[in-house]
Parts: sequence; structure tokens; C-alpha cells
Amino acid sequence: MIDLLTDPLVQRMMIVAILVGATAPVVGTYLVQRRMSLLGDGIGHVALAGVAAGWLAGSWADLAQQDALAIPGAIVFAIVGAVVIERMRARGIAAADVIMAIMFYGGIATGVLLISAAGGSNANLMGYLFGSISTVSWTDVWVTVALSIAILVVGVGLRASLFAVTHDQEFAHSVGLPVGALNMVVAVLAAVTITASMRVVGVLLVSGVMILPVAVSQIVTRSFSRTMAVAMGVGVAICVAGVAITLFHDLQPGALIVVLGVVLYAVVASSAGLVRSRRRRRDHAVAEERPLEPTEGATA
Amino acid sequence: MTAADPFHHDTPPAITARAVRVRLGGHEILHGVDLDAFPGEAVAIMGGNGSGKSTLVRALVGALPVSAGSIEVFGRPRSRATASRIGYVPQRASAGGGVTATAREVVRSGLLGTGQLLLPRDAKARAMDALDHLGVAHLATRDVASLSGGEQQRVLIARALVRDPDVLILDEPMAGVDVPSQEALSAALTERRDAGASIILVLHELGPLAPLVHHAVVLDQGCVTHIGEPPRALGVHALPGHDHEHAHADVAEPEGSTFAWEVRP
Repeated sequence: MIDLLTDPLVQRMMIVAILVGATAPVVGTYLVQRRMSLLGDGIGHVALAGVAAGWLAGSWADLAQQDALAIPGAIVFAIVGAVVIERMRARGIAAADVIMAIMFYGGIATGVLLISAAGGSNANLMGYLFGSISTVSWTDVWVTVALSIAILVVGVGLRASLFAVTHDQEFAHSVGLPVGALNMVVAVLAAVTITASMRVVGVLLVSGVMILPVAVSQIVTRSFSRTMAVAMGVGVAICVAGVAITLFHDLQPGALIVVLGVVLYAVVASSAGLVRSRRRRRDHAVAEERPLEPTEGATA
Repeated sequence: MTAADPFHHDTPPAITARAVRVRLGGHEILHGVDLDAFPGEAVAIMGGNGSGKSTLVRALVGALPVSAGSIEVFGRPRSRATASRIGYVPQRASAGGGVTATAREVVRSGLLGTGQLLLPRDAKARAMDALDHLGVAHLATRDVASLSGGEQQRVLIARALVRDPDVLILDEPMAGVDVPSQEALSAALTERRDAGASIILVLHELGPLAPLVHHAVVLDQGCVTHIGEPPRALGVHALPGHDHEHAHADVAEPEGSTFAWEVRP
């Protein structure tokens, strides 16, 4: 066990898992608040086209390492995709679900076309589709640290304003908050989070790390701030547990993290349901034992 | 004096709207509306469903763009800079998201604004004061979605009042509100008006707010049809306990109107 913790690769994997687990639910909280849980998937698919575009650029530039531009490509495409989605949504050009569908199909299809144009195969895309945390380098770690700091500073630091805008846009307009700019901040934060999380869970599952911890947290919290804080804890827990388990068992880490999130949700949701129904039964029993006495001033 | 001020005020208006036109989805909803609201007065914006009442207040607070005309706040063109003087209470249905939030969190967000993206240090205490003023301090840590209609409305009014605004704009504040909450709201608004605030209310009918309102602006299909004394409900609609929602099956009445409006000469 001690050997494992001193292994540089394990250290790198754990650092990245903790950072992604803590940051993804920050943005996820705003997306759930705005009822746009699928935004992460839309941007993720566009990021995949960016990976392939980076690959194509790399092969044109005759780079020794063909995928050197894949992550920069993903960042650029994800941010542009997020801005386009937000513009389309804000201007009411299309309904949110239609915009998402266009991004899903357009992103994947463009990615496959570009990767084949670059002389690669769809297998090259697999690492980005499902994540490849076991190949994470120190450069990747530093990029993730930088992106995570940016997400935490903006996403947590501005949470009062971002809450105001996502909770009640009309009121946010009335008090003079820059609503359009703040909505754009949420979209760009989502894009940055997705590219930061891509190495761990892959673009197909990235939304799971953003949304599942929030879904779990919501069952047990009442306040917006608490929901975000608990979701960050849940995110770290499932990411670290998922990566730790794959050290001993040959399983796909990204998929395992998401499955852990789903299982945790099922357990917490059903326990909360049990607690509620038991409390209801108890209240009912108390009420039957002691029939309601007519109170003063009550009318028939 | 301005054309829309038949009451000959000495003080300049808190809000002035002139020939305001608003387009939504390619259709013009407001066709040149004038409105004046003075400090220490309550103005009711009235009219049937679809008359443009809510569109007008959304334009006043900047939630909808104005396609023509002007809106001034204390003599300055309405902008993000004038927003600090306005407290807005939207219709309850417009608020809320997928994540639960406590009443105190919702009220605190009223302290944000232009150049104020972070909460002030005393945000919690000020939010509690505002909730206390509306008699709902005990609900501060409750999830707003779990509150009754009247309690939610009191929380939204606390969010507007926490800004200490000079102008209070409320969209259908009494819709779905229980009697104790109606009394608390009416008392809070009256106190605010008497302290010199200007109050603009979108109302379907005057109801319990009748003593508060000085004059009314009546809209019909996006045009002002009456400015002056608040119209009184007539006929069956004035009867206590009359059900406005479901009365139309057996009562014949003029199209789109619940009241017998006085038409402006």
C-alpha cells in the first residue's frame, strides 16, 4: 500500500482525481440549477471534434507526437462550442434540447471525419471518449492544477452572483447584474471543466462527474451553498475511490467512477425515501393514538 | 407638467415612461405606453389577461429591451446604474431552479447589483432583518420551494426590500397568497409608501390593496385606455366570494374585460 502511494504514477492519478472530483460538481451545481444538466455532454462532444482537429493539425504540421495538439484543440473547440450554445439559448434560436442534439451528433460526426482525414482510426479517439488517467503525465497534472484553480476561483468565488442569475434571471436583470456575461461565465466554466476532466473520465462520461455528485447532494441538503459543498465532497470521494479500486482490479477508471456515482445516488435516494416513509408512519401512528382535539375558534 | 400627470405633483416622478414600445417574438406587445410614478404614491397597472401589464413592468426593470420610447428613473435614462434604486418582485412562477435554495440565500441575492458581484459582509444580518420585517424570519433556513404561496411571496418581497429601494415594482403580488400573508404584505407596502417610496403594482383586481393605491393605469391590448381613479369592480365581479377564474361559463361580458373601465376622454 505504501509502495503504491509513493509510486509517481499513482500520485499523479490521485492528484488529478481529487482535482476533477472537487471542481466538476461546482459547475454541475449551476447546470442543474439552470436545468441544463446535458450541457456538459453537448460541450464534451464538441471537445471530441476539437481533439480530432488537433490531431489533424498535428499531422499537417508533421509533429513527432501526433496528438500533441489534441488537448489544446479540445479546449478551443469546447470554449467556442459553449459560447455558441449559450448564444443560441439566450437568443431563443432553438430549444435547449434541440441545441444539445445538434451538438451531440455534430461533435461526434465531425470528430470521426477529422480523425480519418488525419490518417488515424477511431481507436485513437477511444482514450478521449472514455478517459485514460493511467497515461497522465506531470504536464497533464500541472495543466489540471491551473484549470482547477481557475474553476474554483470563479465558480466558488462568484457563487452569489452566479446563483442569482441561474435562480431568477428576471430579478438579476432588475438589480443590474451583468446577466449575459454571467451566463457566459457558466458556459465557459463548463467548457474548461470538461477539458480538465477529459483525461479522467472521457468526454462521453464527463457529465456524470459534474451532475451525479449534485444529484446525490441534493437529496440531503436544503441550501444552494451546502449542495455545492457536499457535491464537491461526493465528487472527490467517487473519483478517488474509483481510481483506487482500479489499482487492484483491471477496470476502466472513468466508467467505474460514474458507476460508483450512480450506485451512491441509488443508495442515498432509497435510504432518504425509507427515512421519510418511516417518519410518516410514525407521525400517522401518533396522530391515531391522540385524535385531534377541536381547537378554540375552529369552525366545522 | 407632463401629459401623463393629471394630479399636478410638485416633486419630479420616480419613474417616467414615454411612448414605450416592446416587441416580443416579432409581435409588438406595447404600442407606445406612458406612465408616471411619484415618490410616496402607489400606482396600479391594471387590465385583462394579455393586456401587456407584465411586459410593461419587465421593460421598466430592464428585463425586456424597449424597441422605442424612453424610460427614466429619477430623471436619468434607465440603465444598470439606476438599478440600485429599484426593488422588483417578479411573478412567483418566474423564480426557482433545479437546486434547492433557502429563503435567506434568496433574500441575500437582493444585495447584489451593478458593480456588486460579491455579497457585502453584513449580508446575512441584512437578509435576516428583511425576513423579520415580513414576519418570516423563522423560515430563513427552509427550502423556498417547500414554502406556501404566501410565504414565498413574502420572501420575494424581502429580497426586494433588502435593497432599501426608492421604487418598488411588484407583479401580481397577491396571486395565490393566503389572508395572513396578504395582511403582512399590505402593511409592509403601506409603510414603504408612507416612508416616501414609489410603488408600482401589476394587479388583476385591487382586492385588499385598494386602500394603498392612489391611481391606476389601465392597459388594453398594449395601449393605455385609462389613467386616473382606480376602476371599481362592477356587477357580479364585485360580489364577495365571486370566482373570477370560473365565472365566464354563465356570465356574458365584454370581451377580455373583468371590469367596467372608465374610458379616458
